[in-house]
Amino acid sequence: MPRPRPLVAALALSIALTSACSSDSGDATSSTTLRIGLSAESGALDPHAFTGNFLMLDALYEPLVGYGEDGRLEPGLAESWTVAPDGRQVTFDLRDGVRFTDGSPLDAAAVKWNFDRWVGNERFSFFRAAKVITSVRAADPDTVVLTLSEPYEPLLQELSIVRPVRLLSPKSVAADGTFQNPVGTGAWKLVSNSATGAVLARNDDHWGEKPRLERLEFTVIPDSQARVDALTNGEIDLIGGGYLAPITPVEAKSLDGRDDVRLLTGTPDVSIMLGFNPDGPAGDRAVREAVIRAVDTTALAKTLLLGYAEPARRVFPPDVPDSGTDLPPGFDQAAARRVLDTAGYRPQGEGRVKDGKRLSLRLLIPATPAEGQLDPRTMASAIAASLGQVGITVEIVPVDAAAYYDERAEARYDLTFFETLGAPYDPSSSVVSLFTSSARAPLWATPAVEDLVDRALFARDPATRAAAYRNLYDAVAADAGFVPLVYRPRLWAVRSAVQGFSVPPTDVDLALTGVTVR
Amino acid sequence: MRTSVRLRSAGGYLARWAVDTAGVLLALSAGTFALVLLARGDPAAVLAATRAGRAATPDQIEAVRAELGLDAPAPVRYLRWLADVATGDFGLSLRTNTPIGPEVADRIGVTLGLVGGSAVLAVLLGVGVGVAGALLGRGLPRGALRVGALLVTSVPAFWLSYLLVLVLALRLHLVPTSGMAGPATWVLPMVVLGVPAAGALSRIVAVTLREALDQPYVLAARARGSGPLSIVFRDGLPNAAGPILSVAGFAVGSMLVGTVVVEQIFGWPGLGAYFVRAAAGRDVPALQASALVLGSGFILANRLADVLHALVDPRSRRRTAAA
Repeated sequence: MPRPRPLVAALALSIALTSACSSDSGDATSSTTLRIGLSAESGALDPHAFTGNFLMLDALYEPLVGYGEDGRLEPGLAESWTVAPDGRQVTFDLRDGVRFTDGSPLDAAAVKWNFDRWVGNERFSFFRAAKVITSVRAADPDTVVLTLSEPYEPLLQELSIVRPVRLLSPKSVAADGTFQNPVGTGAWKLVSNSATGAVLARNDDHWGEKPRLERLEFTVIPDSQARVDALTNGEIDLIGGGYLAPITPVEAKSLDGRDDVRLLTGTPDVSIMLGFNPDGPAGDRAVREAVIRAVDTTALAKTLLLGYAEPARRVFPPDVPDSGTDLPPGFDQAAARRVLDTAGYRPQGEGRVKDGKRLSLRLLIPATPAEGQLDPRTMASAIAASLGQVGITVEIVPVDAAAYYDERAEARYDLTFFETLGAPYDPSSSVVSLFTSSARAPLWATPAVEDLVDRALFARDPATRAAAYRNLYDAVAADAGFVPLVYRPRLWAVRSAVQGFSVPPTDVDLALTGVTVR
Repeated sequence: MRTSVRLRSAGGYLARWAVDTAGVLLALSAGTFALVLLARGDPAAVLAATRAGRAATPDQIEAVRAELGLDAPAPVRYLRWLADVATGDFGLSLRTNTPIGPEVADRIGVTLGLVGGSAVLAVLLGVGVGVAGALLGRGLPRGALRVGALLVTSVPAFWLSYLLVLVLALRLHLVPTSGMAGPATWVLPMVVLGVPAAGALSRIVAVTLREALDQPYVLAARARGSGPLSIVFRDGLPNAAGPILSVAGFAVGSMLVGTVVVEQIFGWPGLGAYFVRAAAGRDVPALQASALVLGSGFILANRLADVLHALVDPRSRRRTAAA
């Protein structure tokens, strides 16, 4: 009787199946298709809704104003714009001869139709531009005039974000105005979109410089390690970015130095911070100062993020516009102990005690890492160890990832993590969510700080605005209101066969114009 | 006369089976609803934040709560949900704002295909190895088969997945690492789901078959001069079929649940991956729908195995009735 051996049988079966239907992908010497990994299906690609992959939306639709390197605003579908001296009117001169991929013209009427879908709409109340704009007028087919309720300097920058400001063809919707097909003016048009992936084809009628590639194939691979495997196996050409197919530092390490893959790191646009709840032990300024002094952010960046991140020294990474200046380095454990001694926290055993009460802080963290991000548990343990060295006991409280934001909003913590939103939302959107009490979970909000937020947002000119932001950061730092930890690394990886790719200015767009695949 | 009594008892069994199954499914629906209710994480806050692109203000959240009908008491919401589900209406996904019914229907085919393929693999491999195990005398080969079966049933699916990707895809380049496009992509997920089930199945086949082969009628068959294969397939397996069916039902149910891990790792657009995504985003209606469908599949696979077991083996029917 023959003895069946299960693993050999499985292997034989797989070999048989593979040879029976061998696929010949990746053998061509050059390709006009770029294959891109995608962490989740992109959903309905409606620029005026809240679903849809950011990069896919960016490829299909264009804004009036573009966001370039270092936060510079560039002409998009508007060739130029003028702001009235009183700051209450912005006039856009539209680019001539631009058409949506369904052939209908991009004119002032189309722009007005798009803006009317979100201006004044309660669903978009988070977005200040939607509140500040009071009317949208098509002065002539080439000119759109926005009237504002008050001067609002960040308006143009806000118009460079993806949703809801990108322009959809008014002809593409159903009779009742509901979204049907994704039709924009972008460099790409949609061929297909499903749960397994999407295909975009080059828009040969695009007004701008044409991509050299003809097709983009997005493949949905939900598991982060599986995406790295698919890249190294030559099944896809590109992964990375916060919204496309995130790469963890550990995966980056495994990709770094390979011959067939290039790992690219971009200038960071998001910072990770440690925040305090003032209703509790961290209400004592001495405690906050001691925490700031106790955490070695350089070590965090080096050991936990494996050198792919830099220690943070400000609210925003330096390349974010109006991010102010670096704070002095905080790490000094001797100083931390001195601060606590002076404030009356006497050492007792491993910890410290004041008025018979042990100094112990609850560090609230999500139990699982966000997609592609660093495991918050390792970061939390490192911080707890640092604080333990100066006598502050830390209780790490991991909660379900979905519940985390609720617990944070309900302030059920003494310490927890915060992040900025990233380009192109910063700094204006982030300061509202970090430093005002109307935000759901502010990092640090006092009446004085909130007043400074308003001054920064409604500054009339760039110089006043820069000064106002600096004052805001100084005020928060003077309160010892947060601990800057690290700037989050921006990691991308391409197969070596991909030429001409560089990390895009923000993680919500994908610059592929000059890219080729050998 | 006797035939009609037997039929009536079978009919009674089936009726009882149907009532029991409906009860279990109802309990499952209530359990699913309650668990999602108990889980922290406010769906209104999540949806409001999704719409806002970041944490939403309390009034935005309240508006969403009212819009979704989340402000009603939980029992009312459960009954409303149950009534809708009974008519096939699973509501709208919080994440995509599209009806969940068609989304689930799209994905269920992928998942059933995967489980079906894995089940075929599991049965072929499990019965083959089990028969071999039953026929082998005590000794090293039989011990090795047993340890092997134990090993493959106990490895976690994610670990097996990565191991197979490493060996078959990255080293040997035999199959793609992930995706669902063409037969080659079926190999890894089918092996990851099917081989552990085959391990479990091989054990029960080996044990029950060996027991059956010790019975007097086998001795009689041997005396009549039947060959070993004929004895196994004609006399042994049919008599061992009951327990094997039960284990097979459980194995198929487990595979259905296993798709939650496997589809995520291999990027298959099935119900398992849909469930994971709904859970991560607190897309409560989608989570409830996918949990209900996957859970029902698990229960039905087991209950169907039981009813088949009862049909092929009237003794088990009597045992159930006595119990």
